[in-house]
Amino acid sequence: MDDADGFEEVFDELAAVAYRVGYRLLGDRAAAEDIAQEALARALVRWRRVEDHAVPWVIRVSTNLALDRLRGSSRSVVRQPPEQTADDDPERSALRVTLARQLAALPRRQREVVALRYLADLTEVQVAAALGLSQGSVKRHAGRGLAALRSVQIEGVV
Amino acid sequence: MFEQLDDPEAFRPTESFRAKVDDRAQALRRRRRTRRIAVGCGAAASLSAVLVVQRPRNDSTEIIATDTTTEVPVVPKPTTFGPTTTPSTVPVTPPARNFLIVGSDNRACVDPDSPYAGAFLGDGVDDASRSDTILLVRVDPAASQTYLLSFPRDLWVNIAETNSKSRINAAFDPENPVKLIDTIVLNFHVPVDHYVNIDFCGFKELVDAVGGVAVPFEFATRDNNTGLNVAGPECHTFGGEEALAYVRSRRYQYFDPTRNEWVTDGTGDYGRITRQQDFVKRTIAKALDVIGGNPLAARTVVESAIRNVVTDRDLTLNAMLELADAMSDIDPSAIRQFQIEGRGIQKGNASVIEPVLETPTMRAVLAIFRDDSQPAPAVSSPTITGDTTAPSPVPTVEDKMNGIYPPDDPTCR
Repeated sequence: MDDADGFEEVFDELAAVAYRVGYRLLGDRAAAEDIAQEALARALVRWRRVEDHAVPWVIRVSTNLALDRLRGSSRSVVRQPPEQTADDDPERSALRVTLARQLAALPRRQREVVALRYLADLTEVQVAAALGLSQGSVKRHAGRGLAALRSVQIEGVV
Repeated sequence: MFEQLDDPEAFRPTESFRAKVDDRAQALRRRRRTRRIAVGCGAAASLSAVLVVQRPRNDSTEIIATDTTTEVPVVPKPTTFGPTTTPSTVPVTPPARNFLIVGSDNRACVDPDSPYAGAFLGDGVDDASRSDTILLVRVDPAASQTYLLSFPRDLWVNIAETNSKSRINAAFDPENPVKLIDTIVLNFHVPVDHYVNIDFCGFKELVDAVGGVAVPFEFATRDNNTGLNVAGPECHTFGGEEALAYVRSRRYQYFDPTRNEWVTDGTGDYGRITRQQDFVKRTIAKALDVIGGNPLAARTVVESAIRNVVTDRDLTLNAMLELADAMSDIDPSAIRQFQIEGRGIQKGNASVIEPVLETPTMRAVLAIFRDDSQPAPAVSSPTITGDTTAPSPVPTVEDKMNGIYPPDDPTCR
């Protein structure tokens, strides 16, 4: 299909980055695969508009999908945060939950920078290009985002 | 940094993983009609608005901020998490929400030298900010549907916080949005989740930010009160200022060449409402054309359009963009348009409209805007594995179209 030119070439890369984001937040193979499939399918149907910035686009969509899943659907009911994720190691699981909660609470820009930089392990230069920011801004947002994460003790990680 | 959270087994997409992506893409494509459109983007852009009020159900409304001149930091959303009881279910679509959009006067935005100044400066004596348009927008991502419901400004209703009846726009108080919200809840029993007040400045900026909005005209068209003047049959692209003259027109006239005379749309506010709703749909479609499916571009456009976004905890720009993403598969021409119907009566020397709600049509229309009419959104709906057959709550109700409105011309956009 003409509209999907170039999609095949980067499929594995996109799948891997989406899966990584999903797994880091959800700690569950099946859930991470779901996230990755959904994100890639969404990218595929609008490929011509996405292809120039496919990696950050997929990261952003995967992050939101994963956070949505943790958050549930209700707009007004404030539910209890989940006790743990599907991960069977309680320590890692608690870390994921804290991470997701803090991530969701960050201002948009910081959240995007943190997701791209630390969930998907892009370099500062890549993040800057993806978001149309200067490298200095990326540094600043990343710093503030990390400080916010630190404030709730994601110990030993940040 | 979070390597320790990685899957210890390396992930390699399998054949079946690949096949599922294709299946899902196929399902998404089937749901896409002529064009992608993110209704939320339009709504988000309309945040050029001056005021957003959070209104949790069964709770008092809280004005978060009303500052129109300075940049107010976006308040992050509250972190609300659902239990991950079923981690392998599907990402959840946002629930249906009702947005009350009030278009209001703000004469400070009008340049008195503008050819369209008559639209604003000529037809009123008081300088107070007044509501000009009252529109309820229901966005239902699960059903990929959007509905518009307009309230004619002469509707004769019980006004909240008083024991008396008046025109509905008497309930508009820029300092106290709760009054209008409660008036709508009280009289029509539909919930209001979010309130957005867009003034003339915001409207102009919005139209200009999407590069103008095109409307087809069959005939030369004018409104001598508002300054609207379209020369002849054409696809006319409105800039912000001129667009106001169009959407505010109630003395709408077209030139009938066979009779060789100007003919006035006698439906007044009703015809105006139909044209306004049509214009809203066109603006959304245009916004989507400009934005494409690219969320980063969406944000850029929306942010550039909005100088004075004030948000509550619930309706952040990001929340709007997420909603836009969820709505990215709907067809703008499929947006349904309705209005509150009534009969003209005299109150003293004022002509007003008494709502008539107990008709099958109005019952069905109001039911659309109530949550209980919606099929419960399935939390684990198979949006990943299969196509969704979007529920169509009221296939029987016709769109309400009054007066003179643009002909169907898909090439004019």
